[in-house]
Amino acid sequence: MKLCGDIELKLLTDSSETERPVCQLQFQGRPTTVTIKGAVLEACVECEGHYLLFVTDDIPHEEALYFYLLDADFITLDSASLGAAYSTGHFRDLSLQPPRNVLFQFIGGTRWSIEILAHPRWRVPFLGDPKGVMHNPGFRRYFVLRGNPLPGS
Amino acid sequence: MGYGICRAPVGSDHNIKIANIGISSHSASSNPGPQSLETYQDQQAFESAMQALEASVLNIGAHAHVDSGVRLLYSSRIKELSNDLRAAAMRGDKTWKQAATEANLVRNNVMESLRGKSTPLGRALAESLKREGKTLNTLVAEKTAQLFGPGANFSNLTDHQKNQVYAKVVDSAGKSRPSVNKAMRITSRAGRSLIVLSLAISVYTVATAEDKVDAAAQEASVAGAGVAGGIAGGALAGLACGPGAPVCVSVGAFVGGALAAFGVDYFW
Repeated sequence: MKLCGDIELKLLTDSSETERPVCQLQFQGRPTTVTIKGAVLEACVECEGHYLLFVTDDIPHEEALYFYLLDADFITLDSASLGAAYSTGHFRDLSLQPPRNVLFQFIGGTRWSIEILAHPRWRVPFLGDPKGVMHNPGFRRYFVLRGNPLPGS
Repeated sequence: MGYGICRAPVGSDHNIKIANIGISSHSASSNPGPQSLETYQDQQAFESAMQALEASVLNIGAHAHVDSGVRLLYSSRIKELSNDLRAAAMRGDKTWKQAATEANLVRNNVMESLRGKSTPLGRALAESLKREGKTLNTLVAEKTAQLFGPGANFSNLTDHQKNQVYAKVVDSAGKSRPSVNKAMRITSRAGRSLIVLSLAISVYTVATAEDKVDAAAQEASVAGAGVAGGIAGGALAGLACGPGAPVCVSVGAFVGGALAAFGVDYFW
């Protein structure tokens, strides 16, 4: 597990009223055919041939954090978001906890952790995630987000 | 009244109406005996349940309509704020630094004031996570890196470049999260549909009632109580469960609305 500087995002279309921005994924400075929704790559972690991307939309006053787990061919295996309406977060304090955990701060006054699973697990859609986390609606997940967020006031 | 069933005292022509909805063919006897009284009570319970359901539909629709309206107001207000500040800086009425500082400050005030206009459920959703916003200095550092590369230092920029950074901060104050805007547009359409559905049922109920004035008054009372009860139930649940408890507030709003509708229908 290590921080990966090979991946960059190049903005293709900016956000509109109802559509998130779209970026082209670039690997080692070369463009790929892969597009990702988001505007700013906050961090990229490489773990056993997989890439975990932390992406925001560059909406500082109502920011959400998006997670994308890509395989070696940059196919999205799993994705999730963290945030709430009328609330904002600030991505910081990233820390790698090998072999497969990443810690960070974003929102909710808590230290969040994300575990990249060695093998995908079955899950019940919309259940089991901490408050503020919206996992993609599939039945399999490749990473688990943990945190005990505090409510706002 | 209600759902093709007319409320009538026991012993009048209610047996015929009971037969119309097919609750029991036996109840359409000529003499209102104990069985028809029981059927009448069942009918009353059914009507109350349907009234409460109708009020709940209106309650959900009203919540969705209010919160989506607040969202629309929020996104248009912040865009207006950003555009006004940009125009003022372009005219020279403010420096770009003043515009950026004001944008950062006023943006948060707009968010706070509009949170207060949301329903208890909308507020609970907004307060579900403690915010960790960026300071103006953090925003300036980020925009500097975005515009002039990761190694750029704001203090080393020319005045023109600094103004470009401040202009970016002003622009970003006018942005709201697209996924929430999109979800609220869908919610708005769903809310309007539920309100129309509920009103259509009310119109049908009044149109088919024997005493239309009484039926209209009852429909209005039950519907009003359902919405008011929903708001009150959500607010009470919010107080009981603490801030940022959307599930608890949803249950409170639904139960409050249904109980208020039941109560008004019972005492009518």
